[in-house]
Amino acid sequence: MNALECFVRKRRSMHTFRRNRFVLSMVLCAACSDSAGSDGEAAAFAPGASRASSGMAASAGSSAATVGGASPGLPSGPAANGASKPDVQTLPPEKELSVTFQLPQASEHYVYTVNPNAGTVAVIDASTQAIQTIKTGALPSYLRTLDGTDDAIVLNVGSNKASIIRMRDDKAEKSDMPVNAGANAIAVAPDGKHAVVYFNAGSTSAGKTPGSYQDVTVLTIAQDPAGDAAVGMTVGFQPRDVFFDDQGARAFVVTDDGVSVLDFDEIEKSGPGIAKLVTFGGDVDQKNLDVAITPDGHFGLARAENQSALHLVQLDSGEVRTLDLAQAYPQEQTSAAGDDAGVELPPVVVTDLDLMPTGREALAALRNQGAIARIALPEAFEDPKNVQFIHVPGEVIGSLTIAPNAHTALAYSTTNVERMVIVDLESGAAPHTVQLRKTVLAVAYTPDSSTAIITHEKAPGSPDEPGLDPEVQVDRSYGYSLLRLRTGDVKLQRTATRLGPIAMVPDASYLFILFRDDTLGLKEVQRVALNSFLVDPIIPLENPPISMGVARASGAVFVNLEHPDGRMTFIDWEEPIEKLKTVTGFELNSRIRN
Amino acid sequence: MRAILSFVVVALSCALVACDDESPVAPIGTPRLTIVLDEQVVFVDPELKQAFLLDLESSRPKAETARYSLPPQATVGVPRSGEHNEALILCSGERESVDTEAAQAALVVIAGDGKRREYELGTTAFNTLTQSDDGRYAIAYRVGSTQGRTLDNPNELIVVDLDRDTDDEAAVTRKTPAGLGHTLTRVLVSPTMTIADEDRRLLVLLSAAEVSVFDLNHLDRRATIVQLDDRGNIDPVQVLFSTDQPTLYVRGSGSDNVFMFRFEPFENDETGNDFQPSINPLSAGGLPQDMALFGSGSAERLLVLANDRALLIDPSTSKTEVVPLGASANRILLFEGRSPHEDRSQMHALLYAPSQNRFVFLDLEVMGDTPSDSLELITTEQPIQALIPLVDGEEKSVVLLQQSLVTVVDLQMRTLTPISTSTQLTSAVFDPVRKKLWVGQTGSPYIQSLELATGRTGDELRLDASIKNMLPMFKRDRLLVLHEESLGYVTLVDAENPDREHALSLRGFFVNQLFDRSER
Repeated sequence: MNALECFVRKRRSMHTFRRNRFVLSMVLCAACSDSAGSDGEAAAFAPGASRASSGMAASAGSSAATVGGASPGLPSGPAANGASKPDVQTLPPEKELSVTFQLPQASEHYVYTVNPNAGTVAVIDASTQAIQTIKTGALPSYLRTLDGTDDAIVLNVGSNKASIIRMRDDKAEKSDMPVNAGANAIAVAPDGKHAVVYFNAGSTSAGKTPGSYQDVTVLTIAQDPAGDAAVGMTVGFQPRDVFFDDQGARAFVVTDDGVSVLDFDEIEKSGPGIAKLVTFGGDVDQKNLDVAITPDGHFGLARAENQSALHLVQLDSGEVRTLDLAQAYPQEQTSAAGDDAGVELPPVVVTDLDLMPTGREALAALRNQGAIARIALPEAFEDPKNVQFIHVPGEVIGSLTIAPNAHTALAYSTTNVERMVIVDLESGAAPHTVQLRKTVLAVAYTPDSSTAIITHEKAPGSPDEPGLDPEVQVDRSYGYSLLRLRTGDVKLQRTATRLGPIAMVPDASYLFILFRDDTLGLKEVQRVALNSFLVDPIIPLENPPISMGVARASGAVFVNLEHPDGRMTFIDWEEPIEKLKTVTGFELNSRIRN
Repeated sequence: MRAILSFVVVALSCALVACDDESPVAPIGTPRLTIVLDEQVVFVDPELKQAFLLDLESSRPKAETARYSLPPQATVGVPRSGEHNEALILCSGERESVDTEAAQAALVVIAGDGKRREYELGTTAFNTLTQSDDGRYAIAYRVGSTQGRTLDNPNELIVVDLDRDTDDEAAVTRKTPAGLGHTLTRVLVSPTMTIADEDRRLLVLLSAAEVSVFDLNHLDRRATIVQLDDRGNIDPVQVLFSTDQPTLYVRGSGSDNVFMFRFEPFENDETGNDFQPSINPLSAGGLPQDMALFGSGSAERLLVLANDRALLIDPSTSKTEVVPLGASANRILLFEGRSPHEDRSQMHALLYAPSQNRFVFLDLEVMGDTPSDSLELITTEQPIQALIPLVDGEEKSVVLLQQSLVTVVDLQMRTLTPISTSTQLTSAVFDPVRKKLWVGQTGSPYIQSLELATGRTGDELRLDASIKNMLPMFKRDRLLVLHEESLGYVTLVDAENPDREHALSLRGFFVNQLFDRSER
């Protein structure tokens, strides 16, 4: 698959706050084990395909940014790296990056890649690189693997069918089920037993039929194809995201009308119907909410851009509660923020909201106040005293990323600030500020929560211009930093071009980073040892890379390369990085008669 | 020069008058096929439908042959491969006509000890034969136009297990790859490969767009057919087999890729193969003109020539090192040895093209950051017409046949020893025992040897008749020279003492049995 075949979707910023902590994990891909990462099996280069985030204003007109790329929306002056706090109200909105591609997907042992033109899916054994090609239907375009298995679902948009591909004794078998016309998105429950197929109007459909704005298909995926089932359901207008509860019993479809609840038992029993719709209140613009669902499926949590109020809905009863953080915020702190009487105090605005992995708490960034609100769920919505505010004087707290183990969070700003705050969520110890060398673009934790990788903005101009101040030179360079949470050790790694996709191996021993710059003729992969932060010799690739992912059980990182016949390189992370293996010509393998 | 002339020659004219049409007993044409065995020569005369075995085992061989009948249309005659002292003669057979009865195609085997056996191949007019390296299997198939039969399957082939008796049902297996879109162009037998935990040999069939594979261990199974493209433009022309991997490489005359087939276990029904190739096209960045494989395991590398560049491809990664040659080259000769720059033996390649007067040495194991450092360009005095590789044991040289030169190239020292010749040489025979090159011009009675180690030329030997062909019999210290003579005329040159005194001519051996009508 080449870059042109990739499908780039710009997510609307306010709809996905539950994924804030996975902003980079979508780039970080399959190794991240959180259930929300089901569409993060592989990560791709996203030329011009990022999104502006958090601030409500950003959704209307803020500039897009690519990972590690220069942001036209940023001030171009020297970075603020001192202790002085900038005027937070004049700062541009926080940015949040998110991309989805029509990418190869990895199961435990296999990498799947679709070929819409040939109507086939190539299944590549990540250990042996043996290729099987299976005919699935017209225009197979969207594919998702089923967690913990070697099976996958592919949407054949030309025939409005979903093919379930099952690997049995290393042989690919498929069964077909009808899906709603024009469907272009698949969400798979964590247990892999159900999937929701829908039309996401925010995506570019590859189908020939326009998708219904309110139809979804619930797929039941059994051990045996005979037990498979497909049931059509009507949901709210324009579904844009799907969540599942921990039990895999229900799916929650976020729509412009609210959250549609799909109860799988009920659907299997009753057949097609209209899903129960839950809203965040009649006076709330459902369309522009950033929604998350707690893992137990009890609550939906939402915020709106440039607002101080948060909305919580009990998904069973539909009961809605609101928490206005402006009111909950301590008055003495508000007063302290204004030095003199008569000076207008900065409003309380939630610039980022992250749900803790347990779903029992959420963290909100109040950038104007330099504070983090720690919100107990649902208790804080009953009594605002259950909101705990953590103040970090002198710091700009516009964005948050919570560690997978929920022991720490990183507070930072994607504006022109070169610092980051480590917040200890366990002991309540005072936040610890870490000096960075460059402005933050995005942050992600390793799965073991020990390390964070921070990608940076690049200031305009060439770093090689003669006579530059070393600091300006750094600002003008591409690069990323690695931060050890326990010690606060930081290492900046300059790079020749912007960072491409990043893959993490499951034991968090290595990071793999792709680099591609067609102008410079750069096409390489870098391996970073996370115990030392040292970078292995860079490995040049034969073709420009498109995307990268991990086949966990096979111990292989795969790099999808741009090649007319399809080409993929596999890196066994236990072996020296030089021992690459490459396969090409997936389609050729479909022309075998045996 | 001693000469043994069969007494029957004098009676030839009488005999020709006496013979009748139905039982030709005398030669009427020059044998077209010659098959050299260890100590025998088999001559095939398709027109007579006969083969003649000339036994040269004795130090004083007789000018007489044993005569064997053949089915019509003997088209191929080759020695059986491996450790077998047998000649294989493929006869196409013929359809019934007003004058003749129908005759089936057959594979006739004539052993050096005089025994004959015949495998019947049916009515298809096979005209091409290929063998496994060990000579166990012979595969008959047809290339080119049909034989005018009413119905004709151009993709039928016959596998003959030559280790089986002719009356063994399993000796002859008829196969047709079902659904092949194009006509067969070539058939090859792989060396033994371990595929899906079983040692086996593959029968590889090439057609314009497909590569088909039969398992010689399981000939009851159908072929695995790989369509390399939709339009039949690829036209596979060269296949290389890995020495220790279940892998083969296919080069086509119409594709910039070399196709790597790696055979993996495959669960199939009982009538299909239990393996399947995964195919990996390796880009040559231009039309590949030759390829060679060296190394083993993960160190296996594919050397490809394309667009006057050498590409060194790691098949497992597709990682390619490109070396512009600075000279035209479309042939590869691999050899292991030293070079003037290094003492230890390593893999090298000699890259050349006929009609060019430059060739290139490429050091394959020392390619560093600057691949051009691994190149050495050599210019010759005259364009190369043919190259004879003499890479055998310690011998590491090639002989270049040029317009008026024979040039010995020491591959390790990279030195050239040109020797002028008054005639245009088109063929030469390498004597690995004495490390000599025997040269002689067709139509001329002179032969001469060249010592490769010293560049010294031997004395010129004048034969009693002009040379038609030279054939090696160096295990018996002989060079066999065929002369143009319908009654049979060869000269045995003593390779140790290449002079007229030690040479022996045998004449008239086709007519020694002029009055003997028995055939074997």
